[in-house]
Amino acid sequence: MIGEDFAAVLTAAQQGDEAAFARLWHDGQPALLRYLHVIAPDGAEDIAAETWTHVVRGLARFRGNEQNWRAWLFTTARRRVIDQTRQLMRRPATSLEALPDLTLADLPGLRSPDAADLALENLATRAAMEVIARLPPLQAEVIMLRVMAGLDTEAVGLLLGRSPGAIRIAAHRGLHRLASLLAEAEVTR
Amino acid sequence: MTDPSVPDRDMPTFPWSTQPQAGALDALLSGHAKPEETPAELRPVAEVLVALQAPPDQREVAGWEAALTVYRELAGRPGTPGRPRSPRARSRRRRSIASLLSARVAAAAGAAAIAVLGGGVAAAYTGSLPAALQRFAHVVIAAPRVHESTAGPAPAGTGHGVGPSADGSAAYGLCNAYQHAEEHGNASQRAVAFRNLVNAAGGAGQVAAYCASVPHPGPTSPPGRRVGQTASPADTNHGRKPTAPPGKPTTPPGNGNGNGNGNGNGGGNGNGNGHGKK
Repeated sequence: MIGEDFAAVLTAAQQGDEAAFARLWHDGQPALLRYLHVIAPDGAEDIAAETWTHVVRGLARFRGNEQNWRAWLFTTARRRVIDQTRQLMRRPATSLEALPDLTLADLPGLRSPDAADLALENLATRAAMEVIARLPPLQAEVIMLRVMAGLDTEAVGLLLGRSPGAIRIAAHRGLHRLASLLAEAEVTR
Repeated sequence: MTDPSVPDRDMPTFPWSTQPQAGALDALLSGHAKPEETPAELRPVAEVLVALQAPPDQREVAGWEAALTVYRELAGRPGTPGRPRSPRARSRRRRSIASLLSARVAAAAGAAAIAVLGGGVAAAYTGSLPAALQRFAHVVIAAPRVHESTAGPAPAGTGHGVGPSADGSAAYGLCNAYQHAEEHGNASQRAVAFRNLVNAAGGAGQVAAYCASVPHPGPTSPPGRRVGQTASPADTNHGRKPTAPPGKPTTPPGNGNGNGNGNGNGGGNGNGNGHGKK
């Protein structure tokens, strides 16, 4: 979160200040990627990049505080995920994988990142995302939006089209389920 | 109201509606939970949520170059935000979108880099999984098994040792992590950083003296390096072969010098603030 500087940073970014945009991007991108890796493990990087393209296009028109900004960023990302899913269902042949993989082959020794290869330096983060991804989708998404996006219950409710009560219940169930999963790991080690 | 002929065990129990826990769950979700106030059965969950919010690593910000290109193309044009004005601009825009499609390439390149943004903080987490999470990781992603001997001599009462052993560069990382969490972290991050540090220093009262005595790891770091900005190889290479020559700033491929210079203050700020919420 950017905090009290947010309004100034946003205004500067809207006027073309690259350092300000850098701050917005570096603040939002890691959370966005982790969210996407949980809800759409295939192509999270691509969807994040598309999300920023959309956000940059609309940036000058955006009005709001940091909560609104985060809500917009994650709503945009979620739309991209939904669009991608629809596209894949309509035309299975044009999956993201079928797009020319530009220069990947030109970079010897580099592996293609995929869901199973979320090679974060931080093993704890990776494991945490793995365990969250095992929750039922709504619970996982609600937890990611609450914790990673930093959105409150009302904002998540608006984003997902559900009541705040439903969001709260999903989050609580998710955390309890999480506790069970961790306890199971304890037993089976 | 409390008729003993009605045993409690006959009551339906829905874990998510258990009121005493609901408050703790909400606190966890909003990042306001204090570990010492988190019920024991929820501590592994709290550790997962903290791990989820760990500082970004290099790979996660590998798409910056491409994003900046798009920003330069589309933003900051008074009057016509987001609308290229000429065919030439349109073609440049197509190129930048193509470069976005290669974000995954950039991400792969980032994975090859060793630099970790938020250095000390990341170092405090890297290789040190909370016990419950490590067991989980072992089950699902074949992480190295938890060794009791490496779990660390956690003082009695803390239950779970988090964090690397605190000597050498790890100690620097812990102090750095704590300082960073104090300035930028949320409550749970502060708490974890502090707990790690207290464990390492041997008591809450020893922390200041402990950190004062910790040398900066290695003579290889560039002078004037800002805390929490870049990690020296010693900070992040727990038992791994360094892939960057010592003394050289570890800029990843695909995130080149132009970027590093162009947004020195912006990137630095962003890193510092992108680790969690207040």
